[in-house]
Amino acid sequence: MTVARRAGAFAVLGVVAALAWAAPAAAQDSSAHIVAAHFTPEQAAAFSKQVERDLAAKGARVAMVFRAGRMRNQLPEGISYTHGAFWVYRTIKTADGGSLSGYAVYNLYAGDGKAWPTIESRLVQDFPFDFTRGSTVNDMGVIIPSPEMQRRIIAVIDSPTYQKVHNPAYSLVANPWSRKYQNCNNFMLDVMAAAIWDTDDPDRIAADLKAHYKPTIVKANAILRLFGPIADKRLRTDDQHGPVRTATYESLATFMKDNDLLQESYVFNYQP
Amino acid sequence: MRTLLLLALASALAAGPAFAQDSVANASAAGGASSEVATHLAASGVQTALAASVVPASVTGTVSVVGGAAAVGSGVDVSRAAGDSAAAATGRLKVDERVVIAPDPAPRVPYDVEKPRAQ
Repeated sequence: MTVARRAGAFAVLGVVAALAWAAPAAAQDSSAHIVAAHFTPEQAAAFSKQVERDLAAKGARVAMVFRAGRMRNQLPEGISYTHGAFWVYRTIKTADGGSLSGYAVYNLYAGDGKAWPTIESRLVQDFPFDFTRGSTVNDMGVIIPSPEMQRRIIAVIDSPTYQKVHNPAYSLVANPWSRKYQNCNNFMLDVMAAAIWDTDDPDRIAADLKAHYKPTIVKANAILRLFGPIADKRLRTDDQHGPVRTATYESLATFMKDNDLLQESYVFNYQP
Repeated sequence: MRTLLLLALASALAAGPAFAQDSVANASAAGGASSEVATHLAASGVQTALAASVVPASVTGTVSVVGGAAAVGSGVDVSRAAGDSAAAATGRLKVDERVVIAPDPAPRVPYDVEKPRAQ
């Protein structure tokens, strides 16, 4: 092997190794039934209740909450969280016939490859404890919409529009300007768009978002695009034209702030 | 070169699932069924409540929790639901101290089982 060819081989190895281990494009990760080793069940229970109390103290009937499912040094630059969902203040009926007040969590989950395919998503409602157990860091991102947006978002969640704006075709880095794929954050963005523009038409939502929403750019190169689908089937980028764009906590918070749709956004830290 | 490339791709394939999941390993002390989790938490003094269903703020439509997943049933249109929800007041809310546990998920039946052959 010549020196040049050997150098080329090492370059390819480097790229693929980066793909395999650095999780370069795992901007989103919404796998169902994830339990991380970071928190004990007791700690996860305490953390989830801390977030609930904080939201309740702020009078939030709905919030967008984000967790990191992998360590920060494994995330693409500028992206802090891998999964987001709506936390909605509800009355919860219990199995013993009682009821209580708290938050229910409305997720878009990708399949785990066992119960359903990894490239397909479903809308699943669970609870803050389930959400917190998937966290691998001691903080969560929180976006509390303005009171008017809270009312509108809850109205969408409680209507057929919620299902209508769901696209089961899943990609980790789905482009919010395209309808081809969707991930958890894009779904939240679409629900929010349905609330803003009072529509259940996915085409209109995509057009409005392209005009008004600035997605996060995920740093990726051409080789990543080429080999990504081999390394992880959920890393589908054929809906991207130009840079890889997706929705994140950061760009959602910016969009809401810029359009006066925000009450507040902040990072909530676990209090041991 | 080709061998190296194939080797590299094989490595990526093998390693892919490991980084693709949010810490897939079920490493928590009580990471199994909800009933196990509830028992574990109760033993540690954490108050829990097993969820049965969730009642939306708007009048119509309830979300039933079935096996940890929810089915949304509603016939309300957006504008009407917005009106219903608008009745909800803002201000400090009350949260129950009990940790809500979702019901045990449905048994995991593989989705890709081959169809029985016609006889």
